[in-house]
Amino acid sequence: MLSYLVTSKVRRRLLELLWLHEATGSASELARRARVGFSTAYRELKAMESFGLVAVRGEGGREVYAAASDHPDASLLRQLVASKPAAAAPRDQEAEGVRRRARALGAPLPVVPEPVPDAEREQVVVDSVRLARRDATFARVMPVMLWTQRDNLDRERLQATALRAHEKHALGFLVALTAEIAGDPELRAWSERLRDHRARGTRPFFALASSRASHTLAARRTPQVARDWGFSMDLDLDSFRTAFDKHMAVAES
Amino acid sequence: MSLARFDTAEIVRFLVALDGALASRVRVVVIGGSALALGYGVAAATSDVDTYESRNDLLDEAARVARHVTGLSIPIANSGIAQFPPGYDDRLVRVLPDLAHLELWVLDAHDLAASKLLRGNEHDRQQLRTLHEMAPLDRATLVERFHALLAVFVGNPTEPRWALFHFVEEVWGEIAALDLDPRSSG
Repeated sequence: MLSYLVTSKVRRRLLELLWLHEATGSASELARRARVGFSTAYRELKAMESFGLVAVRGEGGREVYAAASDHPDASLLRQLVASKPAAAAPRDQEAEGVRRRARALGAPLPVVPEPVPDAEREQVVVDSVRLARRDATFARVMPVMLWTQRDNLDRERLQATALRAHEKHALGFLVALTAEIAGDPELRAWSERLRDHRARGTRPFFALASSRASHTLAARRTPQVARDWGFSMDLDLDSFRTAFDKHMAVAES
Repeated sequence: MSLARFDTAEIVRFLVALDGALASRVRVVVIGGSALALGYGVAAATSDVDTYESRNDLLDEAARVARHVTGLSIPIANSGIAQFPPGYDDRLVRVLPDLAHLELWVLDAHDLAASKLLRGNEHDRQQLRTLHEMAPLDRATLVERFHALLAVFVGNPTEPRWALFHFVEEVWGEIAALDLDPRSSG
């Protein structure tokens, strides 16, 4: 969260040092700990002082900086600098409901399945696409569900449902990924009907704070099929393939 | 078609039945998703029980009985390619200690995390963030174990270094990860 809201590296690191690690020290000491230059750190600390964000005291002829704990927004600041990517996958009631219904459609998940009426299969698939973008573990087993349901889905209805949910392109990618893993040209051809030709450039598939931080690994690991659909992700094709092969092999044995 | 996937309760039920079908003591080190589930309560669906350097041949007959009794077709697969920090076997954690014959062990949380970070993709790090929630990891211990593992790791260390860097940044923040940045460690 902090890296998105505070784009200045120097400001971000000083805020974290002072408010999360409760560091105190001179400008040069804080600059060294934050691994930033002295002059930019000094300027930043003086700006923070003018906003009452740091307390400054004299100590042995030098200025020592600390977080201004009596600032009216002190607790807010502490929460902000302590904010981390979602510790785990979403566990709210809605997400759990999607998992239970997805399991009923073949997704290998550690939950009790909830029966899905035939007419609601397409909605469950689209709900699953949305959840997959917030849960890498769930995304990893999406091809198992899509492959299992490939002949049970009303494709026109699925396309319309995905369009309404603004997930048509993401669904298209996951269908193409499934086709790639399963080696099914018919499914691959159908995935193209889901492509949003207005989509340009590359964006992270996962809507997770961590996926922005791990862009270096995503650059190395994004499967080609994801690149073809304009997505980046720190999850390579082997990871999807292993999950698919493992669960399908057990299912067919 | 019914896809086989097992949750923690089912794995435990299977292992209890396996224990009941054994006549003598067998030591098994469980790794992978089953270890996360059994040792640390991380919900993970798994299609098998992965083990390491275990005498699974001694389990074959009992496993057949356990599958019949429970109706759970859980395969037990020995992994020969897993890599763990040196000395991991001195730090193994006993699980289900009340079993009579089956002596079950899982990796210490830091060894498990270090091992998972060798790949450390988004799915692995998500599982490790959950592990950290269930069994808080100590940053210094994790980094020490990871570097000890990297010293004997067979493979290119570049991606594991990035994975550790990102995980530490995600869990402990940017400052805590500064000395792990692969760009500055040469």
